[in-house]
Amino acid sequence: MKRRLILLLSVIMAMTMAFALSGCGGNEESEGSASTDGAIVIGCSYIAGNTNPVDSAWDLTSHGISEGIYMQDAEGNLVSRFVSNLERVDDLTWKAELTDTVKFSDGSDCDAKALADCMNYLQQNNEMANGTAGVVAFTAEDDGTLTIKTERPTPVMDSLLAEWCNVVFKEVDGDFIYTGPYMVEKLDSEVALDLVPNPYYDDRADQRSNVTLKVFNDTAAMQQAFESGEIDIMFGLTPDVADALKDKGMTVKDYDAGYQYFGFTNVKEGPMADINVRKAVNLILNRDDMVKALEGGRVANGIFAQYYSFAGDVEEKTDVAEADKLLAEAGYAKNSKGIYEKDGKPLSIHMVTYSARADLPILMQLAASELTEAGIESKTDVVDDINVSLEGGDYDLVFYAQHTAPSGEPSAFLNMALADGGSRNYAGYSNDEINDLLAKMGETEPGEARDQLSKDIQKIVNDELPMIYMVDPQWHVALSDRVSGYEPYCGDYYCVNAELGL
Amino acid sequence: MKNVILFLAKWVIIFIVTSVLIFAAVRMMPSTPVDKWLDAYHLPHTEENIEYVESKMGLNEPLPLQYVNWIGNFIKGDWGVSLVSGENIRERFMAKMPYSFSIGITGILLGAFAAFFLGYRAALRRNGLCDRLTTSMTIFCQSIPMFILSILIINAFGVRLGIASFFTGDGRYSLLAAILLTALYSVGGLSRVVRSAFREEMSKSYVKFMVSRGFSPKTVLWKHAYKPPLASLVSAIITRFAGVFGGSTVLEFAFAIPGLSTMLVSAMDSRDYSILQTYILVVVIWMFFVHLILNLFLRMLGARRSKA
Amino acid sequence: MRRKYILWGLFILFVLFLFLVPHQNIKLTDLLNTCQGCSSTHWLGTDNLGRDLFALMVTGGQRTIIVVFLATTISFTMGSLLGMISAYEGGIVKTIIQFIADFVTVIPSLIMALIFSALFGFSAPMAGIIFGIGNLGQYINLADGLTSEIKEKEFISAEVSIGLKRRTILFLHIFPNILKQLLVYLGNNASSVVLQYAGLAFIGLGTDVTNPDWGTLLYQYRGYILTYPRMVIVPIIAVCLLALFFHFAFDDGRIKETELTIYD
Repeated sequence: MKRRLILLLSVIMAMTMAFALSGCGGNEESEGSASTDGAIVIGCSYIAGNTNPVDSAWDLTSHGISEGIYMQDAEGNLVSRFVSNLERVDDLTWKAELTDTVKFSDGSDCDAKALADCMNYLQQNNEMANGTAGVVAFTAEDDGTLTIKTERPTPVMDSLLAEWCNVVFKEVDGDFIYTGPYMVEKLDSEVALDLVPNPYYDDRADQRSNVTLKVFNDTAAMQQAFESGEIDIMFGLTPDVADALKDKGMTVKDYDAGYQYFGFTNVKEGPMADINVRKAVNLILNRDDMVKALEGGRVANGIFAQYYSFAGDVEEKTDVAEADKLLAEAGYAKNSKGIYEKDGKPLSIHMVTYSARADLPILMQLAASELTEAGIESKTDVVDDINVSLEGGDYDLVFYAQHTAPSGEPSAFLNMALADGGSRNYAGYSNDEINDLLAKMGETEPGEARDQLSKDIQKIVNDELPMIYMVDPQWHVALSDRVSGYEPYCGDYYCVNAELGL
Repeated sequence: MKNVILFLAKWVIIFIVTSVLIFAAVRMMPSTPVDKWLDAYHLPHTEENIEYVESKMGLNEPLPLQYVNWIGNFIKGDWGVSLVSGENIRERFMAKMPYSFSIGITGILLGAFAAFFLGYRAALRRNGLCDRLTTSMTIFCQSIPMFILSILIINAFGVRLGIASFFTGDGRYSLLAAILLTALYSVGGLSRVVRSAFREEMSKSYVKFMVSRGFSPKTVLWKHAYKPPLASLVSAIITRFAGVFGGSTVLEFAFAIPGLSTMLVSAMDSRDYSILQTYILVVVIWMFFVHLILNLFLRMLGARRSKA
Repeated sequence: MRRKYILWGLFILFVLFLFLVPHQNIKLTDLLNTCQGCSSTHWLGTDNLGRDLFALMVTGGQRTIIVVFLATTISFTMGSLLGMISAYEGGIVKTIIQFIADFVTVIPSLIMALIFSALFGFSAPMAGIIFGIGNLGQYINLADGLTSEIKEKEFISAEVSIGLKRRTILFLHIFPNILKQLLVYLGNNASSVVLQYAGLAFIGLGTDVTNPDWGTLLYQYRGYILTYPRMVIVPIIAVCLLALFFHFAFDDGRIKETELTIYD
């Protein structure tokens, strides 16, 4: 009886084991063979869920599969492979002349009609596409000319066309095809994505290798994968990993993220509602230490990455003595323990951030240290869902990261964060001067005048401090020898660009 | 017969209660999938946007209707689609299940197998080598986290020796490592269960009787007293099997194995109601089968178990 | 027995030490002295942001003790109570309690943690409660099984027949008899909560190092295992000591003369 039992158990186990190894092995065979014939393997933390442009436009563009009509280059300028000339006819009408050189990945021409079709489809099926200027109608005049009509006037049509949702695509028998340098060979959602070069992208397609994007949920695992040579590119390095890999003599590049690290202050309630306290905290923060701890980046000079022409020109300084004066003005004095207090209550700042962006908790820890040394108490929280905290108002200072100019243009973010009723204006900040400047910006064509308006607004913000500028960060990417020349840019917006592996 | 009906009735009730609870629980979470979706694309939470995404996800219908639709379709075998990516949930489950199943089931069974022998040896010689070994293994699993051990394993075999590729290729090494780690972390606890069950048998009169009749003490224990310890082991395995679905997050993350836990955590991140709800129901069904099979097994052993 | 008193004495001293020992403020960072080894100013060295590891371990220890205490107390008291009632009453009561046990066992504690923290926010005591509930099932099953055995013994049925109150029988006669086995289980499982807590960090819960505990320190420093192993080994030793304490305090492997079997 017992022998039979043991036998039975062994058989069951052998079977499950065999099933485990063979069953799962079989699924991924293609991946294994791909890496032997030279796919570039990229480690990242997410991939597109599907290839539908309505759901996944952002990811598809980031993976080098789809393209917007306009995209940013490494200097933050908007460039287009599709449009050679964009002209405003009247308030609501624009005329675009096309380059006539772009082809879809199946070889068909991407003419004015194809562009108009896909843009109109997105306008109807993706409400997000009509946020900026209402519903936009595209009409093909002939093969090379496109007329664009908006519901509301906008001075920045190129930015509108650069919004992530406006990608160029064509539907063929229920499949979506795009114009980017790579096309999808196999998508295993949340696991891996296999890409092959798009032969019709340009004349360098045959020099490109296949690319595999592999998802890692743990940076420690990704680091091991990189060190063992299993992946060629590792995105999302935390500062300590970047440092460790640099020490080992591996290629780690710091590149401009476009994302900005900044703080939302609670101007509505709590100690930070007092402008002097905000200013004091702003003076206590040591941004040089922040940059040092993050192993890269610059001290912020505004709310935009510094390569943009509309970036700010404010100068942040650390001055604890000045902060002390401001706190005295606000009615705080140091008690016997060296802690600022008012009416017997110690000054305590509640700082909150989230774990998804690993750099932010580091910044918050530095801030906590600096506040403590200056004599201000602090309470810190790292939450899972930061928007709950922001909307609930249970914070004094929230550390936040966002790409503030994803369409190469400043007014979208400034309106969100500063205008009355803006969706990121959580504390209900309102300033007439800023509102005027924003309104003016909405009518001004891109150029120096518009850039100056952006700079003016950023200056006022730095005086009033509804937001505290912190770091214009650089992110780190680790590269194997084979791709050591690769230059990613614009944060995670274009992880795979046309220059990969060339 | 009465027992069978009771058993089935209990699980039907568990199924219904769980489905209502989880349906309510996911909807009570402070941020909705709509918020998460908008955040993912840096979009403002205006009323228009929220309405649009809600209707896109089908969350604008009255709650009772949503519940009835969901549960009705689930029983019919249509598990719905992901709110976020629109993928068929059942297909996705089926694609991820082999990974989690092989890690969980193989690992635990392997561990249990080893635990039975170790537990037997440990009971045989109190404070002997096996006794101390199993004790130290329980302490070990409670002090050294799996994620540290997995880094060391990858570093040793993948980076230093370069003989195994854990992340590319067919994934056999990562799976093997995950299975062995699961086994290692179950051996300690399970072997202590076996040991104490054996010791209990040792004090029983039938064992004394047989030994006094001249049978060797070892043989008596191994050949005649093995059923109750085996039953205890099986009962202890039941709870561990609950973790097969979604309990191996740490291992799946550490070895980048695309199993159910990974899927679940990302569904939680995006608050994908339909995946979360369905997942819990699938776990209930899984546990039903685990209990069913193990109860039958226990009955086969002739042991009485306190559970219905 | 004396050994047990010494153990408990040491444990209480250790806890007092954690709560009373003066240490550097854990918020203070020092970017000029990162990853320093042990020295007289930093007894256990500093971490990647120059924080004092000793201070982090001490404050982390307080939090860890709270989590373990809460989790163990909840699952032990509620679990043994429910288990005893279940076995004693039988019938529908048993079915309901078994349902609860199965239910909490079925839902993996990581998932429970995700849902709970989304509903009520996340904190160390909350984690303690979650793991307390999550581990409830095993205690219920254990107490249930042990009580069922005892119930069949003669002295209990005798007590029922002479009309003793249910409460008296349960607490004064059954509970003391099953306590030892329950404690053995507790001793072997209590400190596993620490690593369960560390596992939460993988899904983004409890990752705040300004509010540390041993588990999250392990998680935070896992990347340094090969470069600065000190930062990982220190918390491992602490958790190990805790596990050893629980083991020897509740399951010392020594048995009474009367419990010796023919095999000993």
